[in-house]
Amino acid sequence: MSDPLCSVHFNEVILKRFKNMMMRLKETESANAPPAPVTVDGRPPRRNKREMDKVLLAFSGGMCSRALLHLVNECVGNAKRKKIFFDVSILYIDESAIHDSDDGEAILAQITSITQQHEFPLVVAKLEDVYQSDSARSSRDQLRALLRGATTLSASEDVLQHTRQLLMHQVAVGLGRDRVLLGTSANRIAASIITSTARGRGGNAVPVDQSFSSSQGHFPTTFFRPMKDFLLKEIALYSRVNHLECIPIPTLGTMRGPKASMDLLTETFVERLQSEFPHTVHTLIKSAEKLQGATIADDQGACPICFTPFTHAERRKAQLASRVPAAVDACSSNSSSCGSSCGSGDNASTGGCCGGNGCGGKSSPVPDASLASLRSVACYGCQIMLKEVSSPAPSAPPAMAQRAHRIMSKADMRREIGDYILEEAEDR
Amino acid sequence: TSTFMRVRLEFSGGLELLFNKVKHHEPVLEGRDSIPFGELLVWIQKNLLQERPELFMSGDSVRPGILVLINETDWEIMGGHKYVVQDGDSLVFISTLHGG
Repeated sequence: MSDPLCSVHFNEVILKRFKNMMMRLKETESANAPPAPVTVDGRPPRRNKREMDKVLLAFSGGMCSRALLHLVNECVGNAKRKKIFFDVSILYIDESAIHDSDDGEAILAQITSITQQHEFPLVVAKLEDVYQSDSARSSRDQLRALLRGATTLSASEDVLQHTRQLLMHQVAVGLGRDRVLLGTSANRIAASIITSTARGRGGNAVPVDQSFSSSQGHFPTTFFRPMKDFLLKEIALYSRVNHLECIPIPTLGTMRGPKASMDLLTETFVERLQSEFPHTVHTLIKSAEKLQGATIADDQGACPICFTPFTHAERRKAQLASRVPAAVDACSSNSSSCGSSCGSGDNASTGGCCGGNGCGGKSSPVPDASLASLRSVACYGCQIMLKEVSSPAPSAPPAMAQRAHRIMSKADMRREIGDYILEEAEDR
Repeated sequence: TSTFMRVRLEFSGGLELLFNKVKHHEPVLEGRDSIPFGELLVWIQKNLLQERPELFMSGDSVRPGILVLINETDWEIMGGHKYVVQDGDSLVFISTLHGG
């Protein structure tokens, strides 16, 4: 877009680009979709375009997700144009437990008034729900301890990001929606490519975080990033032209200065370059698109904290993970409950039910594991993060501990029967 | 002579936090009827900015990542920091950093 556009044309251009992304979304099979039956002439049948695909739209109140919400509404709800068929629910994550301000109620009221404009149902989940505790106070305390345990802002940002992601998985599963839409902009992706690489996540997280869609092995949730080709500047202009109200919600990095964490530093770096060389963001993203991450055959091949696939070296290391200290931490003091949660069937990989929607939860008793105890089966990037977590470490969200335990149990099994099995091929 | 100019300023995207949480300002600048953008920035820093100048400015210009609209138009179309601000102009500063 090198020629200036008037606001009407600008709107049309943005909407058209976004619609293409939504069409692409429609054509992407869900992670857990049953394999398409083959028709008589051997070709797969075309998906019914009028089928309502259920999606969960992650809405933070910020500029990008606000624009995402508006654009999705234009695609789905506008009677004048051809509709794209999606059944949309909005997810807002209430993070007030980790911020000192009293604004929680006021912010929630603003969020509600915005989402009501679009007639999509709103689901509110509290970040502390990842702890699935019977007592709300206990969950809040555990969440606060988790964030306080990070001794650097970079580590807190990592921990927060993974906790949010876990909650999104849990809520999506609880609602039976296997697609989550994120408002991540091109600039954010470009900066995260650099940040992740610097934090030891270049091999596994970068290919995932920059992709249009990412799902991991047997995890049922697919994350989509339909804003990944939109620059922050374009999103800001779209927001302005359409008079979109957004709520700058305080985050960990607010007012901390441009060098307080890796994320803030690379954001400043990328923005500075981008202001002089407007192809910077685009170039970074195109380069990262060429990376091929590891694919995982099962959920034992993914880090229990950040869910990204292990590289081969990490997987081998996880397989050799030593048993004793981890098992003592991973099982709660009640040893009979430990037996039922180890290796248990369908719920283990999703960490049980979200709990936040009163669905009762089918989760097995929750192991009480410290974040540090997951180190032996964490990916390299998470191990770096764990080095910046204080000792004694805070307790990990149960779903992460359960996943870690499954990896370790499988490693034990493999060791015990190791002499009796043939060598597996490297790529399963 | 009593020339003066009035400009309408708006700070958003979190920038308002640096300006006492006030988004809209309509300062009057005495003794002139136009002002180069760079000089206006210095004026803003001296007279309106309450804290953390490094979050708003970088050298002579706004911090990269802050979008500037002059009369609802992308400032790059208007000449960027070379633009000379006129009486009655509206300037909007939108931070896109850590948005969304």
